[in-house]
Amino acid sequence: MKYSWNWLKTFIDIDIEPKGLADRLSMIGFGVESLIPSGSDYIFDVEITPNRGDCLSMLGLGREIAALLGKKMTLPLMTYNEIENKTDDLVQVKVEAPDLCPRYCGKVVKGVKIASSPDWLVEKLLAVGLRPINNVVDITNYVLAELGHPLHAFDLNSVMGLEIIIRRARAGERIRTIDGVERMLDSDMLIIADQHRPIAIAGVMGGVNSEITQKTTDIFIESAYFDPPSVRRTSKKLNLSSDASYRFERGTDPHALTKAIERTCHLIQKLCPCEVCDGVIDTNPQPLQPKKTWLRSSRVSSLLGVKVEKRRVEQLLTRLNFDIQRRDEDSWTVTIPSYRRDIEKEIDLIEEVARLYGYDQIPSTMPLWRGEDAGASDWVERERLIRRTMTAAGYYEVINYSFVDDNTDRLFRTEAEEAVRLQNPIAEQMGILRASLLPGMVANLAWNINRGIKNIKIFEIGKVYHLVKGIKRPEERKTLGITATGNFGERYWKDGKREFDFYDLKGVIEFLFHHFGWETLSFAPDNIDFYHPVRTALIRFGHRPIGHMGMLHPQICAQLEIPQNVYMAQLDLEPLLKAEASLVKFQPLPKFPAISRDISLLFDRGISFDVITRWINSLKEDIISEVKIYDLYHQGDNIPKDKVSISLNIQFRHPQRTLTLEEVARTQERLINLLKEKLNAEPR
Amino acid sequence: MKSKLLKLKKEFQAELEGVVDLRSLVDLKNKFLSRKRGLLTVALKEISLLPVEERPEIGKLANKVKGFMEKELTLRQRKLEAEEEARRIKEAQIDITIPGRLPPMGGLHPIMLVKEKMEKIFLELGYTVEDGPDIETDYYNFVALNFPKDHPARDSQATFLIDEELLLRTQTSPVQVRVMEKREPPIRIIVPGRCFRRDWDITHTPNFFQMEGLVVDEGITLGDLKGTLEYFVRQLFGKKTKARFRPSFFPFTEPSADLDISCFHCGGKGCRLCKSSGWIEILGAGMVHPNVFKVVGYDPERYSGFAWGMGIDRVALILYQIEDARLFYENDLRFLQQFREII
Ligand SMILES: [Zn+2]
Repeated sequence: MKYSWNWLKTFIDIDIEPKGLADRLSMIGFGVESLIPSGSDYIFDVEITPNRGDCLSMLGLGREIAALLGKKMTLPLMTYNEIENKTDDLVQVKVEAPDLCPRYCGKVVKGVKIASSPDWLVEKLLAVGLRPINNVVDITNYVLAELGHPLHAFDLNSVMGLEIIIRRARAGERIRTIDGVERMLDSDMLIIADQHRPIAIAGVMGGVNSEITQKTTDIFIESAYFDPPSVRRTSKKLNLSSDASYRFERGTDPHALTKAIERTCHLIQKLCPCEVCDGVIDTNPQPLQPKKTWLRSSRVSSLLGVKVEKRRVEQLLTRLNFDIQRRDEDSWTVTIPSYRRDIEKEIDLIEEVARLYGYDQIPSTMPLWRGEDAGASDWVERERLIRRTMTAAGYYEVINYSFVDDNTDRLFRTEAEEAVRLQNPIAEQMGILRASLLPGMVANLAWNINRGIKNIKIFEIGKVYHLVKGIKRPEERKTLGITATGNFGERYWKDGKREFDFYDLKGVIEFLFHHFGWETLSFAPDNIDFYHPVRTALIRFGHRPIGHMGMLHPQICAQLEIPQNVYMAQLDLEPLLKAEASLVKFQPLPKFPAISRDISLLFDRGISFDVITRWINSLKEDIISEVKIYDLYHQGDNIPKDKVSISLNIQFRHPQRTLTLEEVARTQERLINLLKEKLNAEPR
Repeated sequence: MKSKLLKLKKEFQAELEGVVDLRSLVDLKNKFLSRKRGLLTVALKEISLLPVEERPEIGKLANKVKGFMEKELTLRQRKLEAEEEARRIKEAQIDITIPGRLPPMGGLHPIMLVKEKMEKIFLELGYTVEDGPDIETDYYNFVALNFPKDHPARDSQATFLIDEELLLRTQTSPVQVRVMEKREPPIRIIVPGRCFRRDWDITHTPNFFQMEGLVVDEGITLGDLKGTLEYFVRQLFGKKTKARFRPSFFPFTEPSADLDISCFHCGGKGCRLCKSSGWIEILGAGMVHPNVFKVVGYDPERYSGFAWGMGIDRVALILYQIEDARLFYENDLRFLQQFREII
């Protein structure tokens, strides 16, 4: 909100420079966002927190400045002459909804001449960002800016039946507001009506049908107190906010209604010859008893951590217009000014004391700790280690929005998965909460490929969200996603280049599990729609499926316009964050050397390595200590189409003695014969 | 005979001069000293044909010549070998200016880097890390935190709605309430997590990360809040960082404060980063409001506490001097690869 230095100075003798005032206002809770010279004036743009609606005016902020500087305020002139005609002879006011309008005041001014405002008024309005319209409207806006109380002026001759009724709107009622828009009203909205129709939306905006025009001569000035939540609801529902609604929402001073009218009358008479009618219509002259609460000196000190002298507390609160009376040795009774709707209890007063005392005057301490020693819980440490493992394996971490496009997400959801939909998404293509990390991550690959980066390995740790049948609250699960495309690594001189493949992805998952000593990881063929049908696996941890991996289905890849093979995996992290890490169990080093043998065999195309090792294990040859695959050919040199060449490296070792070459040869022959017999293998 | 030996010696010396490599050295050795046909070997055999009285003198001379040749050959061999070794070493020269082959490189997302840095500071002070759901109820996100319905305090937190009751949390603060409901003081926690607000521009993204902190015990003061957060900003932004607390407003704390740090970029003189004020606003904090204690069943007369919340994305923007928050969620590798800190 904008404040004019010159305007503020009409209330208070400010004896510091504008810059100094700006700094000191910031230190009592009024952040000055900018201070801009404007002619002979300075304009302060001040951030007013939502609890301080009382400061949304020159007078309001002026009260704070007066308290800050220890000065008295001079109130603006409110004097005017009245004629004998009584206001309540000219118009009747009936409040039908006192819950939403606890007090309604009004006064009639006759014989005004609508014209433009004089320069001094126009300048002041422009200085604080208000648009001049005509003298009467400008005066109500001027009083709003000055005293903070919203007023509305009706053209009295447009009020049909000369009756003002404050009531809830009826379903189907409409009003064209002064911004020219036709608005549908409903029965939750408070309106001002005459005998036939709505003439204003209470606290929000007036209607065209009763607005001040060039022909207006008699006006009815409304000064009312409307229920803040009601104004806010109406304003939100109509998506219409105004200077008035902004203040009503934040709470205005129900005791200031007649003052605002008096100030208005003073200004109108100053600007144009007119007749102010006698008396004020006031539906509730004493709307609220002054609020009282208590404050303990001991509590001030114990909460702030500094001993604030009693005299000082009294001085600071008095400056803020609190009436403070000693109650007993430790405490006071405090009467709260009617405009301070934010103050209710002791804690609110302690904040008032603290901010005027100065946060910088409070000594800094460290809290004593009498709890048990804490530190990172296991799951925090586990998540940290998973991140470290992934980066050590050469993957970059990404973070995607939790919002995705339903159509893309759908490609990566199974039939059973149902996504969580937002009522008010920020963009159409961000309409649901992600049910999978993969759509976002595959989009990351596409983004980078489009920018010339073709070799990508990334991971993400984040939540996925699903609707669960029979449970109201959707499920959130922390999940690990991995995607990669392009070459396995950077291409260096003397190295070959190799495309990232299934086994690179499988390897990084195995790496992750081996880090925590978990041996029960297994991979099984699976058929998830979005993977390449024969290059995908279900991942199990123990017996529990915890994820899936594979190559993105070439059709989806093409649909997403990605010109490279994409590998991806997704794992549920919840069980991994909770699972115990296995302690390393030391194995004694072997005492006798191993003998190594390479064997190349041709197998049928559909063979699986798993089956080969199972048959080898069935030999129960204790001296076979390890079987590794070191080469694999599908086609090419002398390999028939329906065959595959697998080269095995076998380590033979005996724990208690050195093996003889004959023993090794015998076992190797048994092994080859078995594979020939059971798996139709042919030595090459 | 004597002259013959001396002639052989001279001849050997002359030829030795011409030897340039180990191969010709071997040839030379064979020519003179080969067991069967070496010129000196043959000459030595002739000594036995000489008269007996001449033999000792000639024999002595012959051995001397032989000794001379062997010694010279050894010396020359060593020299040639040393030369050969030096040449081999020289030929093994490489260009040490070619960049090294890097092992596979990965890295943390800058938001997570900053999150872990912040976590570490509080973990070392003995805080524990807590977590809560992203999908929250209006009650935990607002009502329990003293945000009444239809209150303008909700304006700053444009909320994504799922249904009448469920929403995406706009702050990590609901976890304060969840933790206090479950546990009795003393409490000392931090809550890093994802939050959501319907804002999208150069400094706001519809989701972002926050870190919440909460300390509750008997006798906790506003001074403790100041001391703790001053320690934190010195750890995170450097020892010389000054902190400034300004009164502010949050419904769930009172007194409330905004914390500014002295600009670490210009040292307070004023620059682009601090919008020439010398100060950068970094977080909001305050003493836990008694209404929140009542909601969770704590006695506000017995316990007091403080809480704070800050945007991790915002801290990352400031620390790394990034101007566009949207970069965090584009995941361009050229962006991600710049954050190679290891913590
Ligand atoms: Zn700076």
